Amino acid sequence: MKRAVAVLALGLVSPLAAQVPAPGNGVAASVVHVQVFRSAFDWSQPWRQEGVTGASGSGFFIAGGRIVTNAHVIADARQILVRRPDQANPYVAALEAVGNDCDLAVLRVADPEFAKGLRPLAFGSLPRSGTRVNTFGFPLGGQDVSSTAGIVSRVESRGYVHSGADAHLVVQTDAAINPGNSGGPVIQDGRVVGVAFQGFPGADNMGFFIPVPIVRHFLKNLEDGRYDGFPDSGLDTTPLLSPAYRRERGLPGGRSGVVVDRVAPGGTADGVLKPGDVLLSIERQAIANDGTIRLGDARVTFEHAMDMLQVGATVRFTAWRDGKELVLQASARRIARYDRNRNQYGVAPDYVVYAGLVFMRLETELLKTLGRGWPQSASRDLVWHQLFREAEQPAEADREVIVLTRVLRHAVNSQMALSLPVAVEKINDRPVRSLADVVEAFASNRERFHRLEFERDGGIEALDRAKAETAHPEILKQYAIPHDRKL
Amino acid sequence: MTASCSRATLALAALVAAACASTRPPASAPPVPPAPAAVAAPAPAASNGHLRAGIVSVRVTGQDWNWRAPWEKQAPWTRTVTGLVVPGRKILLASTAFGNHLLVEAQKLGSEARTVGRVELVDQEGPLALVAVDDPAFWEGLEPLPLADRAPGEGDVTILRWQRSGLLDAFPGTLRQVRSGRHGLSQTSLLTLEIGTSTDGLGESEVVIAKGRVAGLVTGRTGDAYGALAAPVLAQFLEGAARGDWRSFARAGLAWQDLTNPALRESLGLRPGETGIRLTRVARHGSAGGVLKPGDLVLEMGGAKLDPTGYYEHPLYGRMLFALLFSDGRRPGETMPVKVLRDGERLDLQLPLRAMRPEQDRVPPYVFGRGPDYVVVGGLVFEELTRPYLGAWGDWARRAPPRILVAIDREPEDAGEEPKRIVLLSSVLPDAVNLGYQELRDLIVERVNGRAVGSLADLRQAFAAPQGGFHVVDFVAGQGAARAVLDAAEAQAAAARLQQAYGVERLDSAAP
Repeated sequence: MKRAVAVLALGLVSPLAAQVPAPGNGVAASVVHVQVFRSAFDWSQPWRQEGVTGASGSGFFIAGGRIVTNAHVIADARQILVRRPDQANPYVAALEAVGNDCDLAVLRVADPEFAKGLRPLAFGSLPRSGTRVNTFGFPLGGQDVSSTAGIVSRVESRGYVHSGADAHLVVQTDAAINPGNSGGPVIQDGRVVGVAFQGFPGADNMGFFIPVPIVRHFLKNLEDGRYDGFPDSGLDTTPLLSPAYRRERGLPGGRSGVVVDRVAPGGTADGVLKPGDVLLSIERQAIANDGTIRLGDARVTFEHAMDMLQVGATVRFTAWRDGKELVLQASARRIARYDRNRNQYGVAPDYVVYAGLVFMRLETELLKTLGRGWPQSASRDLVWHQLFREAEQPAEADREVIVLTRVLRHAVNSQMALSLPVAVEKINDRPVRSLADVVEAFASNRERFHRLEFERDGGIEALDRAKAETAHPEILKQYAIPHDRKL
Repeated sequence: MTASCSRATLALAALVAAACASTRPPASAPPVPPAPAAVAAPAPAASNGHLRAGIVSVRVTGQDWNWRAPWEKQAPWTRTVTGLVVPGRKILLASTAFGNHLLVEAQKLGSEARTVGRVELVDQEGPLALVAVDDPAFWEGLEPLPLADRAPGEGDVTILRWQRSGLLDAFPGTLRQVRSGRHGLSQTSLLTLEIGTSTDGLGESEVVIAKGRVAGLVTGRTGDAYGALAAPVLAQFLEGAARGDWRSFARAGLAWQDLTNPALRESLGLRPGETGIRLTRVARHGSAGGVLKPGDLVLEMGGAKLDPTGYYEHPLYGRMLFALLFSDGRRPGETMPVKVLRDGERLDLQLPLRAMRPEQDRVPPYVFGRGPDYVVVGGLVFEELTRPYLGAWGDWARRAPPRILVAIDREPEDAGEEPKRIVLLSSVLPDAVNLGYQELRDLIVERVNGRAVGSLADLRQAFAAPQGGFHVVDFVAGQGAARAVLDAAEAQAAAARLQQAYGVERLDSAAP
């Protein structure tokens, strides 16, 4: 997944990729080349990092001496260098903030020489379908800043592949967006209307950029020096395209909306909306029966209205319940547990190793070590926890699942018969709901054996405690594990 | 856990074998003369002539239902299966071709004529079938081949197969090992010959000859070798058929974990030198149902000690998996002693040996001789989940929707006397009545009109009681769509229209 973005398009120069004179003079001068050296964490051996690889993308200079680029350009970066198109020498940049959920990042160069004579680009507004835009950046195949022209094809909500779990507004264009363009500005009338960020491998003339409302949301949120992300409605809804369903809900003719199927605990709508409600409007924007609201000439999912709010803001809903229209208010909230569904960058994974047994928290990044087909190939228990448990057991939505991910073989554990990875239910009769529980359960045991119980058909296992204590430091040494835990 | 009998894995192998069998191109290898070993055995070993007289060809024409449009059948198929002449003027075959057969025709060497046969007995747990041919003329010149009374040891074998040209092909093979195995769509562990050969495309009941006797019938490929049902299994089936009381093979119905870890054995209270396995699941309708429990440590079965991976020492064949104890030389209705360690106590128990019917699994492993059960309401097509339904995905264990896979493997299989089925909204026949739902498919149904649905029978009852003039279908959470609502009167009015538009003769498989 991390590389899907970079896979963009292999044809380097499409007919549209010809150099064109930049409308809005001097835009090109404010576009910078971003070169990155990265080292990702290894989720299959969480105590180690992978080898250094290089990557490059684009960025642009904005007010406040900052550079905007994509989060995926600087993901897992250990060193970031930026270069102006009119200068030969790169400058070392620091990562000021990153929003992996919207694939945006802000960099800053400490050296005052860098910004001299550099004109910050100003932001425009959401471009309309059919209007012309120009992209700027440093795509593959050359050193100079390159510009391509194209037309805004459509405005819609779409998944952001960098996080793998978020959808926001995107704009599709036929302007060539190739690997290396990532993070570069998309310009209309001399102003930034978006940030180029992803494409469809294999599809011609389809590039996507992050439109200015999402970029503004990100920058606005950073004003207090901390990034809080986007609020989550916490709603699962069904479109009301069925006339029978509209009648069954008692919805008067002429009214439209979506049925609330589920309200996620801790989300914005928790305690405000209920399953069975028909959500009629959000932030005074009427919701159509297909779940969309109007945005300029386009129709986009009503969730876009949530995206335009910052965490903590008040959101206004109207809903049809028991034959009446209700006006409801809620405080926009973010659901922190959904981070376990997102691709992780730049954060060392938590783990505990004891006597060669490696324990980690269940999250998407861990399941990805099993391959892309994990929803079918991982054990059904793990798949159920990750994909289905919250909807079926909302009271336990925030529960963590601890997984025995591997056994570092040593005489003390090598005869265990386990099918890994497997969800841990109990250790020494203590329910295991966190990595701290794992540490505590082993440390507090005074019996002759450590006893492990796994979920469902996972069976049970045991370790001789005295032998495990002796083996533990040996195993860490043999397998070159510097620390037996990271919590 | 490594050794637990994972249903998904085994079923997969079975489906692959079936797929190979039905798509095999006609044999093109030139005939190879029988290996000398096949004819040089001591009397009463069969001579070359005997071999020819004991093997026939059976052409099976059949037709399977279309599980994705359950009111239809798929294109008919024809399979040619090698048949073994057995006493009583019958033909024994080890093939999955029987069950949805429409016409069975036998042909013998040296004759172009095909004689219609009758399928007398089919057991997919072999898979085995017994075909009778009533025309006495057919039997002229045919003679049963002697069955080996035990599986042969390692060594060379000859594999015999009928060719379309009417010739008998003989291929050399090597018996690699005798083990416990499953064949076709069977869920039962049976005595199996594992045979290596360079010949491709076997698996339709080709006859394995060792020392002039029938050692087994080939059922399909597993890995780089072929599996064959061993002669004692064939003999058991023939005896039961002759008695007229065949009830299939007894089946364990267990999942277990190995106890290879000495620390685990000791912590569980096993004495030094004492070994066995730990049960993790016990199927209600299997031989262990009601007697053994998850968590039991099984130390001995049928008088044999189990090792930490569930193997025992077979008096004839060496190390064999314990599952074989249920079928090898034992019949349903008999009992088998078992010694377990439960809650610190060593108990001697008796297992009543039982065969399991496919309907006793939550997801029946096969359905033959009848079409899918289905109900169409307002264009919404409902079916119970079965293996043939899953078969539409091909490699279903990797392709079916994750929620369905979770339901198959994770949720209790048989909580009650009647196993609860997984009921699916299979697809939608688009019509004005179901506007907004046309793209729904493969969704597990939880409730209809407020009633929990554990079978199509439940579903039919629930649809008889609409709520305020509407049918409300709720799906198990997490599948995207949560609910579909139909106007009950409109759904009724749409019935004739749907039948006509989609060529559906009956909107309910239970309708007359």
